[in-house]
Amino acid sequence: MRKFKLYLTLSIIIAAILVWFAVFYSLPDGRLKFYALDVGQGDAIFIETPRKTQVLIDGGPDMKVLGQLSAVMPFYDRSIDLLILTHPQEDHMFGLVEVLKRYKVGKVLITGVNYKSKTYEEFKRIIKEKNISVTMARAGQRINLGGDGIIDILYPRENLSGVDFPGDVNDSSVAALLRFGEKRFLTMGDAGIKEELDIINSGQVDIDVLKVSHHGSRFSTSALFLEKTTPEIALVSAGARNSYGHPHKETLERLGHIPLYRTDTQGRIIVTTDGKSLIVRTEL
Amino acid sequence: MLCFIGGVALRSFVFVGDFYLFFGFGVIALFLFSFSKNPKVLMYSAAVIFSLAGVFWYGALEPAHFKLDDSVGKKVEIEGKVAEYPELKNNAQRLVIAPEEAPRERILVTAKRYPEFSFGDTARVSGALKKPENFEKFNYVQYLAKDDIYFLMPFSDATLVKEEEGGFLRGLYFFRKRFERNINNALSFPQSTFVSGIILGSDSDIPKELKEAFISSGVSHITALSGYNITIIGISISLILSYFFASRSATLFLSLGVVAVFVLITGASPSVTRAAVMGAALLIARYFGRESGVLPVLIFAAFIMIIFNPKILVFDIGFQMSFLAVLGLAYIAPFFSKKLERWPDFFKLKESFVSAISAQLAVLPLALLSFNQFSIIAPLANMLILPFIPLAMFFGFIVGAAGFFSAHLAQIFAYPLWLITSYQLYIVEYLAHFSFAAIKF
Repeated sequence: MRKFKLYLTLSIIIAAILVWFAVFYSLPDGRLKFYALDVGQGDAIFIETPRKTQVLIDGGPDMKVLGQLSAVMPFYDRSIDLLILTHPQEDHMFGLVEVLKRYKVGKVLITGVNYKSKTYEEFKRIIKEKNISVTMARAGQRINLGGDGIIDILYPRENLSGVDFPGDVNDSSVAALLRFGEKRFLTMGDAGIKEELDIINSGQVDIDVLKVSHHGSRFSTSALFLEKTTPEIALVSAGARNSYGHPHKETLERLGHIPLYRTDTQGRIIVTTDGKSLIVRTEL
Repeated sequence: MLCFIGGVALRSFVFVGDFYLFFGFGVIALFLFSFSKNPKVLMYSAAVIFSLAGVFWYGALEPAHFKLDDSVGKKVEIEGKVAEYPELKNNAQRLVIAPEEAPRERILVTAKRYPEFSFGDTARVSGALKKPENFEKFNYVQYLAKDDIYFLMPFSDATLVKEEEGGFLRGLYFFRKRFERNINNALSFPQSTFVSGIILGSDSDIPKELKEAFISSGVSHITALSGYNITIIGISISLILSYFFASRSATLFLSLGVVAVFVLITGASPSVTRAAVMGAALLIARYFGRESGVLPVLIFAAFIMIIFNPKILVFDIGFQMSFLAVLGLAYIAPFFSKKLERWPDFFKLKESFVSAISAQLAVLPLALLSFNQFSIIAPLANMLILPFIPLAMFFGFIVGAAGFFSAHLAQIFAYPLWLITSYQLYIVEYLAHFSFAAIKF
């Protein structure tokens, strides 16, 4: 009986520590966190607002995203509020299938563009099976994340649902502008120069953090685009020693003096902001 | 029996081609056996006869040529059933396909991960057909052959032809899949794959880095090898049960029942069933207080299994490990128990520690051989991790079962499970990162 009491006390102490940890963690700290997850040659962006609304944009080319999510989310949290697929290519979509299976996902935002791939079919099948609400992305949409975080969709112009996209499917990527206080973050999947032109022509886009398109390919991130958007810092998500040579030398030259952070050499990148200033940390 | 097993082993290692030589020996031995009156001669000749029987039995069960041989090297399209549980490997899935025209000539097919196939489905696979080849230190051909796999089809394209309807085994498969999903939903990754590994024996989706960490810290046997861990499960469960039940026979029957359930949810694959039989033999021997008498029983069990599939003797590491683990539990564990008699025993933790360590010690040489590296840190890693394995299994089982009723319920039990497994994985990764953790050879 004495032993039993000892175990009981011990379990209660451990439980109490865990609960307090959870309580402290979920207290709002007034900061928004923007992570470029280290998923190798692919993209995965995780956003957490001060009130713990969580958004995942793309899921990388394999299962790595699951480990990354475990590292940035508290252990008891099994839900993600919004999931955005910029475009249905493997290096952005593959990891999302398992995320959809394992997490409780609130909403999904996709372009719905036609694309022939078995992974894409599975992606859509899971959404249907779990009855998750889907929104087709279109410029002009505004998503309120609560706690001052807002996502504005800048691209695509039209509803692409069920459309065979003319040209490069990279140029159908959802462009999302995240705003928190005075700070603005732009992510746009694998958008090429054509889509970038469309975005800067549609109005003034002044940003602070640029998630560089297409892992730093030379067919993205034009000098004109950088001139118009004036990012304070830039992030590149690419795999170490990837076969595409991303990020490309020319892109790096164009980025010039803008401070650059790379997942291929620095691992996971964490940008924290209180709405006024940016703090960047990297894993390595 | 021993001679028969020896014969099988002989035939496994060397291809015995000189038929007439052996035939001659056999005739002489048979002749001596029939006419001699000297008991020594009788014994030796009987031994030779049984050894030869083993050699021939092994040969008799191996098909001489295959229908699919003509298609090797060509691009083919084959329809067949998914004959074993599909194995998920990051971006790919590995399917064992039993072709319709030749079900005994199974093909190991690697296809894209999605759509995921289920056990029993009929699939059409297309790709280039290959014969497996041995690696430098590993007899891959025979390793596959023990499961009737004689062909490979890497990079294939697989489509579903039709789903199997009903069936007990298929029901079992879906039950296990749900169970695994319940764990995945309640627990973060990679803790969830680790738990699936230790209680379902599935090593699907364990990240490559983690797998390597397991090997270099010397604890990979916990998840990697099919069957072996079930022996440990049986013992651990009976220990936990004996804490709650006073009656020894109740404990025995319940433990045997739990082992049977485990066999079922892991899919009752031959390797798991074999391990369970050996574990059960030990449990029963323990019940009768005749632990030290388990060796003949074990050899008899092995003999029966080898008759059914002679290839397991040399090429199934899981079979060998289960055998050794049971021996370790029967003969090494009492020694440790005596040494640690004065230590306090909390919740049978000491006993489970003793069982784990003795099973470990028994399989250690084999583990070293099969992974081609020697983990210096292994004793430390095992000591820190193993005592918590039964606890992790216990909570893992509850989480998986609770998930059938409510996701929230499962999550509550997942918290302690998270704590335990995170600790275990932390130890594994921490110890594996030392450069001196393992010596590769």
